[in-house]
Amino acid sequence: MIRRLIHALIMPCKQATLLIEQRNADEIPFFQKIRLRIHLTICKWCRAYNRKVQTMEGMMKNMFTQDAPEKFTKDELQLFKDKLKNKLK
Amino acid sequence: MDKRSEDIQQWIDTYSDILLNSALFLLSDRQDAEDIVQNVFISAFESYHSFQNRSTVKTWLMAILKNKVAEFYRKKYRQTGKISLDQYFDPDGSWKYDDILQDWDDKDGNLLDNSDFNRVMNECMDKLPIKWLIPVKLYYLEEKKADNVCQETGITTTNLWKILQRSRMQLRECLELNWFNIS
Repeated sequence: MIRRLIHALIMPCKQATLLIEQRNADEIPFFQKIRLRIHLTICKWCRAYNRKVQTMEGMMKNMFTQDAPEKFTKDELQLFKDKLKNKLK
Repeated sequence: MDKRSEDIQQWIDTYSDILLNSALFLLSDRQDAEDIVQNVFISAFESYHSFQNRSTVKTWLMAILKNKVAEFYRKKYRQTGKISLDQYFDPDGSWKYDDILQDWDDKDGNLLDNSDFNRVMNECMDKLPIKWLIPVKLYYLEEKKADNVCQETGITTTNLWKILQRSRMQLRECLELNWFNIS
């Protein structure tokens, strides 16, 4: 019942989770930001989701500050270099 | 051999490793990664004279790589198709399942230093369909500058937010299944 009320008055969770992405990029319009904040105050589902999103943002940041995983073998790299160097002589 | 050829040969030796690994990270396809890095060096060769040491060689080559990845996406995946959230939400837009309520367990707070976790995280990312994976990776690579990513990939802003939202749902699900043991 309360969930229905939240949706009718503020916005559905489906929309709130999209606004969370915009908020994380600092691209959320002012009134939407307020609506999102109210939604999160009363919706424990989205609040839990929001916590997970923030954890994931930390993981993403971490992932992108590290060097990419090394998945090419030494031989593959050498072969690639030799071929390309021949081509661009 | 002229100076240009000499430089390029040396750059191929020095930067192929990082470019190939970065390309594979962005594209999650080895052949596409090799093709794109080859194009990066060809572009560098052709526009050699416009590189005037304003940045480091590595930065310059990485910028070319990023552009090539966006171009690749633009040509191949511009049609993002319908992005459906039906598996997560009811028709009225409420969460379908209560598993979202279970918090993640990171008591030690050092998940990010855990190499096993980071491997799972990478695998979960790679499970995203390529038409979402590339914009998501470019978005984080460019420090969440949504406008830039949209311009480079030809995706509308509306669709980029949807892709991010949808990818996030899937990533969460994958992490919970393969790491946090929530089901």
